[in-house]
Amino acid sequence: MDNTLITKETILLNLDATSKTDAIHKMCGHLFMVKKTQNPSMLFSDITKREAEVSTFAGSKTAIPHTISEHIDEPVLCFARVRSEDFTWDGNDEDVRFIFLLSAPAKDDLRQLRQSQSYVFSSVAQLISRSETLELWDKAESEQVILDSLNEEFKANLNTKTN
Amino acid sequence: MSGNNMKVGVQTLGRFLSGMVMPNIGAFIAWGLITALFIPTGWTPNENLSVLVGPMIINLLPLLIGYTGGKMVGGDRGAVAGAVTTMGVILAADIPMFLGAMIAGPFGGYCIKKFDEAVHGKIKPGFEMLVNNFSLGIIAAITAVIALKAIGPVVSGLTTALGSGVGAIVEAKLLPLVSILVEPAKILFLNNAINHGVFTPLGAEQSAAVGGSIFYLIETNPGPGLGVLLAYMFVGKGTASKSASAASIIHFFGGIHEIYFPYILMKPVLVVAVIAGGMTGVTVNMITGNMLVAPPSPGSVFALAIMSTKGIGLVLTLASIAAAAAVSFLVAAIFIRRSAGADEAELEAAQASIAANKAQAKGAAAAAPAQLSAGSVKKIVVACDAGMGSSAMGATVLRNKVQDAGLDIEVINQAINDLTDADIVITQAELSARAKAKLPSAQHLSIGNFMDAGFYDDLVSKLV
Repeated sequence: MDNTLITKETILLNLDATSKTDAIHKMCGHLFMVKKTQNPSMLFSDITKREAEVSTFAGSKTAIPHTISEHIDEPVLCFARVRSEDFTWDGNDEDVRFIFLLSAPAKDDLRQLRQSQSYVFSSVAQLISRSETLELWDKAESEQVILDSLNEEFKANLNTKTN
Repeated sequence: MSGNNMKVGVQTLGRFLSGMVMPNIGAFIAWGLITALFIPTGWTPNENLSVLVGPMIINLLPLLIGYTGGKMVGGDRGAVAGAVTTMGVILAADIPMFLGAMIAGPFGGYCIKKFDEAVHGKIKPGFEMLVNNFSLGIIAAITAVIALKAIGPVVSGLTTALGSGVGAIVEAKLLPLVSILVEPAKILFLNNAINHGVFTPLGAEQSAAVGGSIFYLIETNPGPGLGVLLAYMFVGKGTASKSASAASIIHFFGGIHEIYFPYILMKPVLVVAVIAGGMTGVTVNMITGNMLVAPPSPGSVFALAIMSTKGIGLVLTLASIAAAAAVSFLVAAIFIRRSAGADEAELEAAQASIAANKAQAKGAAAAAPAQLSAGSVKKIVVACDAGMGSSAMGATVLRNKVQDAGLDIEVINQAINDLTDADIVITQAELSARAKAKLPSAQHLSIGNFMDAGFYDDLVSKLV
């Protein structure tokens, strides 16, 4: 497993955002601050381009914007919990509280890259299906709590991976 | 088989066939340009460069089709086996073996796929490369020999049979009816076989006697194909309609009819349009007594014009092309418009998404197609654009449900561009058309939201 994928630095517990664009924009800016991207505006445009095709709203107040981009230095997962009231991600009835932003740099073997990154959202899917996890994330007061819950699930998924 | 099943079957087959040709259209255009320019009857005849023409149409284009066909069935290994197998049919006859390649390619791919499935997980670690290469080599060698000895003669036989069918209609003096055979045969790339095998000899006889022949005007009339392409341009939507304008130029002015065949394979009912157009053209020429002095080659509007008889002949030839194009256009436009202007695939995707939305609104699960059964489904792919986000989540939810139900079905996620084989492909409605274009052989389901548990529950209950 990639230990630098998500760190305390890329967990935002109190993101002030009023719209999807605002949220993604701020998260890209944060990734610049923690030196994961040299060019946050291009990263933003790559993510919104993907978002324009189909919304990444995933249910359970969660959205998973993601992209393979030239403007990210290494695979990174950024978690954000929206502080203000939930806002609508896209269209109707898509209130969002948790945002998982995943980006990975393009590699020669795109197929291999996609497969190697699949465990991330696979884990997220399992996590958000449990109401106790959602409650935990909602109440968490330190980044470590979130990090632990994610890492635990990542480990379980990587170990049971069959192919 | 009910009429509806048959219709679906024909459409699926058509999509599969055009899926083999469409990725290779660029190669057809390359060949078409070289042919139109450099053959002895071309625009700037050049003996040194025209050597490309024969080997490209006899070898290269069928190999590309066979390669693509193999890939659609058996992935990268299937592609190689498909190409090797296609070599067998290429050498089985001296006509361009497009139809043969469309059988041999997928056949080769299928054999490799079955072999890989049979030995999956049974190869000792460290020997995979050795087994992979030798199994491919041995199987492809066998299928190539089968193709040479079995598939080749069947296709040749079919070609000969069509030829004699056309001959019989000509004998019976029912010339316009000949389009019923000629136009579908063209779509299966038997155009050169029919033209040079049947009409050119008949025409040569006649033109020696009376200075011209109507036979030169039957297969070569670019009107029917032009009508279909124009219908795609003006009435159709999606990628097919965008590429149709370029195709119509190559077809009409360049005389490379092969360009329009995939557009009919995509929507097989359009064969009715070219038949109607063809019959119109033949009828106009028959009533007016129009003929050409020599076989036009390639079948471009220029070649037909040049070969027209002196005086009013040119006008009559152009009139027959225009009439054929107009009739073909009208019929094709009706069929294309009838599917609401949308591509068949997009239409189904749209319908599925509407159904999903409706069901969601009511809080009920969307209805998955009824004909699914556990026995036939071995692999489900949840696909999305990047292959690491939405699809990973959807696959996880579905995989858990499949396992809970005790089903032996593999569920993975992939990018749409990586799709190679699957029994069922699930995509969000917006992406379904692209997924279908990428893997026409699979059954495609559209989902509104990829985390819609109700949809997966319903699918699993259909599979149990």
